[in-house]
Amino acid sequence: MENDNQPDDLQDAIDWAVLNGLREFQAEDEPDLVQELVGLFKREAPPQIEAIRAAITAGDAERLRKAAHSLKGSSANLGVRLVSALGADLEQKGRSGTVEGADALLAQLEREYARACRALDAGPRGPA
Amino acid sequence: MSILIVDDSAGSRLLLSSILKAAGYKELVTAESAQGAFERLGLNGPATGPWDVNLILMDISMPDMDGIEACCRIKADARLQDIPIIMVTASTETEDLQLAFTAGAMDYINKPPNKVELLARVRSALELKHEMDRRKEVTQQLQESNLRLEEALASLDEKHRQLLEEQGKSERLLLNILPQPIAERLKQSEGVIADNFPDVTVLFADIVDFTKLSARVPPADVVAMLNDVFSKFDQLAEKHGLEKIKTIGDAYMVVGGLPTPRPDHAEAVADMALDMRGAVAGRLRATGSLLTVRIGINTGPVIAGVIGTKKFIYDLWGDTVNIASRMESLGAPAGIQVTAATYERLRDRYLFERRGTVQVKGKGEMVTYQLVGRK
Repeated sequence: MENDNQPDDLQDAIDWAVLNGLREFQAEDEPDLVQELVGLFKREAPPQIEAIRAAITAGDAERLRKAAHSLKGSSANLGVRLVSALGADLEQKGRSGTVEGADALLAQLEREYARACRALDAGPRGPA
Repeated sequence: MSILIVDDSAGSRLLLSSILKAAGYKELVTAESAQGAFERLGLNGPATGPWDVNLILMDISMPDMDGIEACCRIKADARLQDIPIIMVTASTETEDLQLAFTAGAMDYINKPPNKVELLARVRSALELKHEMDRRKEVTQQLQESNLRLEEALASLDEKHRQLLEEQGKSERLLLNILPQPIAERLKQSEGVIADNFPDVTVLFADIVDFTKLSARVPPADVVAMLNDVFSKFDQLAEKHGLEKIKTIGDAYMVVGGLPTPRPDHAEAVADMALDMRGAVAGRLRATGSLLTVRIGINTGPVIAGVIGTKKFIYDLWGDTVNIASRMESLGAPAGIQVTAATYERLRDRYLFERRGTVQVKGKGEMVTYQLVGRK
């Protein structure tokens, strides 16, 4: 899917319909809700990723399940779909009682998290 | 009507609050851990937040204590167990949901929350809570009014008992003064009672030389002596089925044949007279001399009844009464003087001595007899 010759348009990282759908809940005299949610996600996700890494290092499948579950939830909230999907995969791994092969998933998750952050910064691609 | 949102993720808390706020739920409180929720609810010690939490949205997956255990703790608290809990979870595993329901959760919603689903579940949970509160209130009101009713009934019972007691007392007092059939008629508010009795026997008795006696003896001693004698007479009247009318000073008045007529009234009065004489025989006056009574009897028609409006007494009127009184006052000490009318009734079964004639005021000369005893 990745093509080094063409710039990554990042659009698959985010389900913009979900994210933009959150604007429905914007209260009039409150700060921008989507911006705030994104800010909170960026603050909460790194420690969650660190917790996943620590669980894998410790070989603790249960901790892996919990940490991945949390990341899955918070990313799903904002439509950060690939991170959420990888979180779900890691959670499933933890649930099955092993951390085997979790390394690779984590590496993939970290890449996707970085892409998601860039995509969130860039915003949805406007009409060409 | 507030909703408590418990989630360790600030993003999730903000998202849930925003959805609920946009739907019009203004009173929202949040906690970032189970412990924080307990503090809000006052589970361990006093509440720090609003008491009226009507719904809890609880993240299942939280560090330290997870949502399942927090749910169990809240459901174990008698004051909090009625608050519905909706679990919020990114999990779709049946096992997790099973655990949530076992812990007492009422419902669950998925992360990311679907607005329509979230609001529908929140609304139905709040409606349930409202209904439960209402029922609780109604039950409590019912219990309270039931209690008040029972108290009122108890107090009514007590008043009724007191009333019956009072009634019993008045009844006893009334019956002490009036014959029962007369009392019944007066209670049914018959105004004046004046009944004709064509045939009764009236007896008067008094204590010989009472006036002289009371001049020499202290009044208290005189009264004690009268009480003693008249009490005995009362017993005898009852024994012979006669109606005591009254005492007048040292005189005692009793009648046979009313208020319930009886054919043998003359005999009953004669027996009474003999017993009265016997009862005082041997009694000593306070001065040491023997006590004697003088008795007069007459038979004939009387009017008996209760008149006036105060100090009711069942009394007798008529010539028969006046003449009976004369028989007594003109009699000999320790004698029982009867008129010819009475004598005619009794002559076959009682012993008499002819006394000759006595001058009766308003009547002229009358033939009288002394009753001596039974044949």
